[in-house]
Amino acid sequence: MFLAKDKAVRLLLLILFSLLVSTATFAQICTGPVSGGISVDYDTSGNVYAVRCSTWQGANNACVLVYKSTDGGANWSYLADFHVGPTVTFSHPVVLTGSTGDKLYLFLLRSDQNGMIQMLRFSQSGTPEGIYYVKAGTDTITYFSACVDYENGDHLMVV
Amino acid sequence: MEDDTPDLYTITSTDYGETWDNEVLVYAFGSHPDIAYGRNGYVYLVFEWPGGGDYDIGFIRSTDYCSPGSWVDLEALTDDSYDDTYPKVAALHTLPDSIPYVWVAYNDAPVGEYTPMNLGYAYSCNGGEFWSKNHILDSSTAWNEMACDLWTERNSGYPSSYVNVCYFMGGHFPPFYHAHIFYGRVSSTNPTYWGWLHEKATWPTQSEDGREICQGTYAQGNCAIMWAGKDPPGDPFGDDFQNLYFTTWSTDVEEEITEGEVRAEFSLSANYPNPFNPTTVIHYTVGSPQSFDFAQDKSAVRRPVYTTLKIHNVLGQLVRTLVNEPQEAGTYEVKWDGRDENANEVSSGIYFYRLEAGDFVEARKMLLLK
Repeated sequence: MFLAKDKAVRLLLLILFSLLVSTATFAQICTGPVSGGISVDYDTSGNVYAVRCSTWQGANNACVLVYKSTDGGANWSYLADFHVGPTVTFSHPVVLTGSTGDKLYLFLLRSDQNGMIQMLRFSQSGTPEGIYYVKAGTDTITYFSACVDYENGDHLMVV
Repeated sequence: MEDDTPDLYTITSTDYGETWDNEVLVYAFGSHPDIAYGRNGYVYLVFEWPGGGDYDIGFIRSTDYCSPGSWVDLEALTDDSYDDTYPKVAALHTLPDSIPYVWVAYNDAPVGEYTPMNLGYAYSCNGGEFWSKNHILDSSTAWNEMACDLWTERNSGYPSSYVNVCYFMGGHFPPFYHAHIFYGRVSSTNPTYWGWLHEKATWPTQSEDGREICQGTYAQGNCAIMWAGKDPPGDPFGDDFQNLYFTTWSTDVEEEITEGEVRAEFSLSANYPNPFNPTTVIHYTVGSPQSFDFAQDKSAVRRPVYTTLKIHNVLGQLVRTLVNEPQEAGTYEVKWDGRDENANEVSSGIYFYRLEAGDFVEARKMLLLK
């Protein structure tokens, strides 16, 4: 008797679970080619930031574009961009939010100088605050990863 | 960063990226690194490293924000004959100052082959000191691209509850350019049970590297996945990804299932007394693996579990094996008399006792004071 009840409860939960899964909806963040990768992160207020590497307005110029959602991902708006000339490509974007200071960090790998890691800093409302070179030199860099300490937001770490 | 050698370097900034410290070599012969911040300065780094004719997964840990001298080289996750590549790492601090659980997921395929393509994972209950055996989360012979992302909820404070995974399966088999995007999550309660493991989207998309087009996150407390794909039901034969898509969902229902059905029956208790001289007692509980119909391990049934309880010194060397046999579910008590396998008394110091029972692995520390 106990087992039968247990199975019935499990079946009911599975049906409810399946219904929830089947009601998933998709939001379209943006249109346009993605070339070089994407990244996503969220801040302590629940805002979500999406990034894609692409080409600038259909031309063969590298760019990276940032979008923001303030309603849990249902609606998105353009926030910021960064673009350069046609001889450079961008890849491996990593977007990170700082827990303090209203910061939005965007790391990317540039194709020039044997691979160069660049960091763009914006406010979380999209105001550009600076462009910084994390690593450039004679070494060939083809891949990287980055993180921030979300406790204080004052340590940025790249490997 | 990866150069021609390749070596792994870290570089850090403490002024919001205005200036960057000198690079620090943290490991030779590593590639495709992934780094994750835990808590209290702990940072976890995984990477591929070549060994024995294939790629395995290496793991190191910093206890001070990647600073020089803070890195500890710990046990490698995998050491098999398959290529284990593109690892991802996430740490789960269930309490603010607790030792974290760490999960690492990676691609796993025969050397030089693309199929079968497995998504493997391993976990550690003690911040990477010891690792579970390698598990397979998913496997495919139909697709030759698999890529995952791991992430931890962090905006609701501690304790954090789950590590999440999303992964992408796809491939270059025209005209089938559809990718299958899955989601699941795991907790410290049962480190091998991936709840909510379901396909979240089937989408026309393709990539030379699936890692670049599927990412997971949170959105106002809900889980979410973002991916790049073509316009459904658009032409799947084009060259570019034309859109970014985002989906989110609540996982509240799963709480009822998890709390009602999955019981954490395995445990390792603190030894008593501690410190001790020369004898101490260790209690542990062997549970019974269970699974749901939609879980991966459909074969799990109640059965004896192969169990080992071993004593290690601070160098990780085996001192004594106290238990090494299949055991039925139940609570056990084992006494250690402070002697090694040759019945010699061991010296004063810190020792670890490590319980491994099926998929459950946990280690604790004790102090012998003479």
